[in-house]
Amino acid sequence: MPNGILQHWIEALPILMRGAQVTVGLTAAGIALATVIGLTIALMRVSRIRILESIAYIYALVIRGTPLFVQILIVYFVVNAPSKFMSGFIALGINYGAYMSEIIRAAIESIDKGQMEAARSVGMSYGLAMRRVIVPQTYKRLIPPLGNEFIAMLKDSALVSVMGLTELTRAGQTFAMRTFEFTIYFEIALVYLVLTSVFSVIAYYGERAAGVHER
Amino acid sequence: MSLRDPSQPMIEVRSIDKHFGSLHVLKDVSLTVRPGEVVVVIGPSGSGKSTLLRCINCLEQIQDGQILIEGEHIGLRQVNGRPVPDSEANINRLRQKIGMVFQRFNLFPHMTALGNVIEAPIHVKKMPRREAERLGEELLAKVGLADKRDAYPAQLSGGQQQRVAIARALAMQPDIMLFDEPTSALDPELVGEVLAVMKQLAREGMTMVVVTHEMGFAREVGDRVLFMDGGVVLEEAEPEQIFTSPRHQRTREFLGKIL
Repeated sequence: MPNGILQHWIEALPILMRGAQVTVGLTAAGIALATVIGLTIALMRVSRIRILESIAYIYALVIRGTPLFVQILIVYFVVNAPSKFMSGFIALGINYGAYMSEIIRAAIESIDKGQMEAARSVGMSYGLAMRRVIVPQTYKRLIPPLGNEFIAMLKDSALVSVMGLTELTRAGQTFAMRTFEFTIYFEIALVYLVLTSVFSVIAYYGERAAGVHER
Repeated sequence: MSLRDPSQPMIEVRSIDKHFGSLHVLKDVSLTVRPGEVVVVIGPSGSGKSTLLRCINCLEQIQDGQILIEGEHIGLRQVNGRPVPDSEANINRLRQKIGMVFQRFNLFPHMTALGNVIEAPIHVKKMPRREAERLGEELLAKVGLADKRDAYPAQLSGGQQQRVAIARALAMQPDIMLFDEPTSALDPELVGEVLAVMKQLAREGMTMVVVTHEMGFAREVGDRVLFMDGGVVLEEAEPEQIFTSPRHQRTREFLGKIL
């Protein structure tokens, strides 16, 4: 590697690290929001209340049927959030919430029907049975897809750079523009790869830890 | 145990009908169970015996007829002479009087044995946790599993799981217990421990309806035996009579095959 490039890569590293912090923060906040939205929409889908089911269905239809990039632009330019960071994770959370709702609904429906029957047979209402018996059993099944969603969002969060929020991609882009060192994009890619690898490992151990009640 | 009007049946099933789509699974079925009685329902698979049990606590909705639990309608009620589905609240209330034990146990896998037993007392009956735990430990001791209170279902054998499931059903202090083939999913050597618990319950005067293939149990514990086939109760008699001199040809054939 020519000396100049290495020099630039070293010089860029602390800048990219600060950007990576923003990226991880965005993703963490975005996934938290997506989980709340996803669970809400999923519970609406299985609520057996027609109007709630319809709202949830339309939400998933609209969000999944339009580009994330356009949603980011809408949230940034139309919804006036107090900060770019907030606009960023709200847009990501809204988008991923629609996909998460499908994942959570599938997990709820994968729980053995006998569980609901047993819960109802001791006098629990449908809602109480969902809350105490069905939903808690989905947690373990949700960890692998949740890990996947986290990793996917980590990468998709690059799109919010369009708002001018200095996350990992934009931090590197700015550096490249200033120094004309375009190989920095490889370094950016490398940092994303390290981040996604680290979170894959965390998801793997999280999955194992959540399985304590199973032999 | 509280004193009841002995003439008031615990369960009254009056001419109920149940269809699954075009399949007519219960045809004009009636059954009366008096306090303390143990009624055993036998019959070939697909005869509707499990469905009958599931209708009694509204896990299946009947389409016609009436079911009364201690004199109160459940599942369907008559409004202006027309049957309408029962309210959720009423079903939930009446279900608390009816414990149910399933073929495949259906324990909550994310809760310990004690957790399974105290779940409904705490969250449905709003019993204080302390009190519920005391009751739960008592019930686990009763089914011989006091030492398993902190075990998760996956750590228990089938027989132990089914005994926890019985304790869970008893925790709501029901007046009636329904058993849906409680030993059919068990290894043969584990059947006895579950039957022993059921026999003890019967001796204590619990009103029970038991769907089973355990003819020994039916004979020893049953006050009455119902033979069902093709969605119809073909024969109803005391165990001795049904096992020694069944009136119906189909009963004879069925007993001939399994005894």
